[in-house]
Amino acid sequence: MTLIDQYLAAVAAQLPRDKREDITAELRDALMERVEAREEELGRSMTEAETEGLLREFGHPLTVAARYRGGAEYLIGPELFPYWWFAVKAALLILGVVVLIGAVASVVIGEADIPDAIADIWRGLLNGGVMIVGAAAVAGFIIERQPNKPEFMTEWRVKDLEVFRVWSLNGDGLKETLGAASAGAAPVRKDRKGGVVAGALWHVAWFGVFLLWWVGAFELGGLNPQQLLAAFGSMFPGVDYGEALSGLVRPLYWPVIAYCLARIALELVRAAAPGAVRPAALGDLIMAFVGAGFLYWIWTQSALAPAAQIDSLGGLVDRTVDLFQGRFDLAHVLVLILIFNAMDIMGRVFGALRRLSTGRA
Amino acid sequence: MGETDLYETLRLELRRGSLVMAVLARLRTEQYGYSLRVALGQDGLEMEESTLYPLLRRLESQGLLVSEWREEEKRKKRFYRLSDEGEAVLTRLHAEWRRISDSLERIL
Repeated sequence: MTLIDQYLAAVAAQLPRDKREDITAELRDALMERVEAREEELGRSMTEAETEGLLREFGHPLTVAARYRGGAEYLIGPELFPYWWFAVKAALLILGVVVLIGAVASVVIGEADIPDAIADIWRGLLNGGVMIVGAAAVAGFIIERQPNKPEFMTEWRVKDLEVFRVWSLNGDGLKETLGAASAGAAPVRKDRKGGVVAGALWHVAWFGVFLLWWVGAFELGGLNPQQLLAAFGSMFPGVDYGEALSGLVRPLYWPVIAYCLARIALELVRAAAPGAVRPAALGDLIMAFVGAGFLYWIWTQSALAPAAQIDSLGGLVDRTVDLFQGRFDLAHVLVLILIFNAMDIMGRVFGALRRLSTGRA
Repeated sequence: MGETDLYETLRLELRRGSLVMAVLARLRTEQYGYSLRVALGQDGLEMEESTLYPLLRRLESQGLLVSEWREEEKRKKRFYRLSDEGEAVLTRLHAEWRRISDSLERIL
């Protein structure tokens, strides 16, 4: 096998099967033409080193073959890149905040000392950051290769753009956001909810970071979900609920992963097609019922059920009053968390039903 | 990025579109890859094979060129020529080129 045969075999291996023979035949002809022209100049046959030099001039097989391939030659193209970069920066910012809160909490509850907490912050940022960038790269790669651009790139609405000003994720944007908040100007929260797409992307980033923590891609203040719940359950006086709380992780592990993935998928669909209000509302309704199922299970079937039980409305009021009077135990906090979640689910159900019936976001 | 690098980047951007026109115009007369490259070189438009051959394929898949394999000088070669659609596109591109050139001449 000559050097040219070896070279062409390497090019051919990178080409689509149906075009391989045709393209390499043409390249062979081009190379032979060059060899003949050079040999005529030299007045002798080319040496092996000279042939190798000629092939090097022609280009590396990977580069040559890549130019024949249709479609994107990049992981994330220039048009998608600004969206991708914005999403990555937002997710990294959320990760930073979450990791920081986790580290502070672990110091406050006595699970870690300050040097350990700092080390945990670095570890959390590094592991979570790598996972976020990796997952975002995969998502960008897939979006880049779709035949049609997603709707968030083509059908964007002016009212969605506010989030990009508030979340400009640079020094000026941060100053402006903090300035607006401290001056009591238009509330940021309202701005953040300004658009369907912005809200959906926010949820994607939030559930993405939570999912990464849940599966152990990074730790909050050096704590995984089991350890965090155990520490939370042990910080209240009276009964130690640490074991009961951390025991929730095992039965909930896969359901929570499935829920987060379904929610991320739903929010991505919403971001890609903000006009499809009714299908998204149906998804919201289903997710709300799934959430209600989780709540029902915790309230009635889990190891925490006895602590979360309320005998009567009067009992609930008494517990709430106790809470405000400083009689602070996990059972009270748990009941309130469950009640707030139940109210949130009811709100989501009504919201979804309204969008389903009116078709308006 | 230094001035030389910047100039080189901008020069390549400027050249990219013009080379397509040059290839289309040269292929009003039938050529195979190597002879086309030599002809363009003689016109002052050097082009690497690794750029030229994929470009020919792309232009053919877009319907602007037609090609056929034929034997010449005891070797099979792929000959390309401008298609009718390619001729029409080239005419429009040439008109646009003149318009841009005139505008730039006035500005520069």
